[in-house]
Amino acid sequence: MGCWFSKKSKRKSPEKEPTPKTVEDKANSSNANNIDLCSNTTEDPPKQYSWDKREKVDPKDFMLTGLKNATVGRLPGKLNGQQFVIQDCDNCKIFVLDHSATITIDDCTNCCIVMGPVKGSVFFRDCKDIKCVVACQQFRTRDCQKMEVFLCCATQPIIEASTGMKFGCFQYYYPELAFHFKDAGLSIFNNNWSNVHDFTPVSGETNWSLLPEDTVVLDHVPAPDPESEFKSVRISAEASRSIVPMTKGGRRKESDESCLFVFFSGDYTTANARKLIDELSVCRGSLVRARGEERDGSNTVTQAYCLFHNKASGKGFVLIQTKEVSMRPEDVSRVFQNDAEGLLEWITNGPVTALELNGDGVVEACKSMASDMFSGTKVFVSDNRNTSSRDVDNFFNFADMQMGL
Amino acid sequence: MRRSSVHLLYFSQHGGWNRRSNVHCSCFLAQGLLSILRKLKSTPDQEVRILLLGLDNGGKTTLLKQLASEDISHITPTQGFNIKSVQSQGFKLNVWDIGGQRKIRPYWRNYFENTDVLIYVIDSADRKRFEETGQELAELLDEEKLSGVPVLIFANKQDLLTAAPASEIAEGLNLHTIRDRVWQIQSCSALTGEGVQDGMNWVCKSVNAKKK
Repeated sequence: MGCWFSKKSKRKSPEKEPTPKTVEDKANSSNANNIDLCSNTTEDPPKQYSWDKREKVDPKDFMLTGLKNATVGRLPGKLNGQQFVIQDCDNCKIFVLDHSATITIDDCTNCCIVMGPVKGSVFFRDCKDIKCVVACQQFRTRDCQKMEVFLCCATQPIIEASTGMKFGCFQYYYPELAFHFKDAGLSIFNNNWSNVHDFTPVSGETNWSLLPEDTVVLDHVPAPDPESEFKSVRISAEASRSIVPMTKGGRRKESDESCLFVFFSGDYTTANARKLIDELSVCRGSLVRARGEERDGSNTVTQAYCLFHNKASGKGFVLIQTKEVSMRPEDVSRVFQNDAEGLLEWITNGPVTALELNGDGVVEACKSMASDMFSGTKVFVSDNRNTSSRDVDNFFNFADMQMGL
Repeated sequence: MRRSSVHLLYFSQHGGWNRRSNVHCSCFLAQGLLSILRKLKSTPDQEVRILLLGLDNGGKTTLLKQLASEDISHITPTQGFNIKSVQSQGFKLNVWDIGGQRKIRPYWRNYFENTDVLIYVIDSADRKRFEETGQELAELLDEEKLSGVPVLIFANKQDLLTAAPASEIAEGLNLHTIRDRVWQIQSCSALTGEGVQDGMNWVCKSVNAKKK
């Protein structure tokens, strides 16, 4: 098998390693020292892939480089699922108001960045003093300091060699945002914003923490200047208008009673889930504040999470977490156990949307919701407060397993 | 087979010497041969250990899932490693996908032993880190425990607009200076699958050659 090794590779055979006259021809499987085995003496013409045939674009159109004190970005429809690169920017307000494939942000300081839904990863490297609103499948940082991130992330966010990282729940709206989520293949119900993995933990310190629940997004990531190119975009960062429902995530729950509410796949699943959440969220400012005062004089209402005020009991309910996930028949019996019968046929049409709600009396409240508002809809609601915690654990443990590798 | 061993085979199958016609003998002989051949096909010789390395965010796990024909729309950053077995062209490929964050690259060496093929994945659209990935690859090729191991370099993420073509990456990485092993660079998009099978074809060829 002498043809394999160094003798052959030293010699630049004309067939095997032609000088790249045209980059396209030689682009793909070039310069291997032994493309063919000794037994294969014919060389195939260089294979053409889709990236060879597509129109060449100027990479600069998809980059923001070296800007200072500017308000820049992309309006809806201007990026259309392509890659975007941000580098060496200082003191800028950046609005990427479209869906994209992936975004990398390098060597930026003191910037406010809003990123529309990203199909793949968002990766910050060597950045400092950044405040951002991000929706993505993966969130990654390396060598960053002092960042505030309002995040919707489909998988577990990770940080490496980063300090002073603070996370809050994604909270944003512009008219096309819901479509952009769909275009990017992201679900508004899959948001792991609060459980961050640190590759470089330091004992005795924490490199990351959660932002206070009452953080006002627009105080940190301001809306675009009314004179900028973004003036036509109706942006809102109010919790009640956020495309992604506000979730408490990993913050400490206030009550021991939780309830599992599951919508099975149907034409109006998302709308129904949102309706339920909206009914639970009385984020109409004055109304809730008044009720807060009624209860115990404390004003506990914030923009950051939604309260349901039950007139009868005078208590508040909170959305802890949500998940949109496909179930197979074997999952149904494991997750719903005694209640599994009759649900089997409902999981075949598409993924289920599940919500965990928390608060004293939440199970009864959810049950009356189900019969009042959703009597014609396929739903599962925890039956009683003694078994509801188990429902919640069974479901969300299953969902985590399903959505890991 | 020598005549004596043929008779032995016949004897063991039927518990006794039997003077049948020649045609009958050869039918039973063929059956015996077939069952032996079947066993040979599934011996450990046909298992291939593949190590999948590269910087974090390169697309290693997406590639792994693509090889296993699994859903790739929901992939989480790898914290430790992932491993899958995939059948391909008569081989059983045991693919080890190891996390690529800078902090955990020192653990790569724990997986070097007995590697048959190294697959190194590069994010062709992350130009900022070309130097870093070139460095890591060079260090791998210097490793004693990986000496002589064939290496396939996937120039991944060709679906992205700013992706550099494989030729540019090959030049930048000075791949032509690799003398001590067989290597190949292959453009691909792990996300769409394009180019992946072409790379794996080379992997199987290189394994075939080595095991002869």
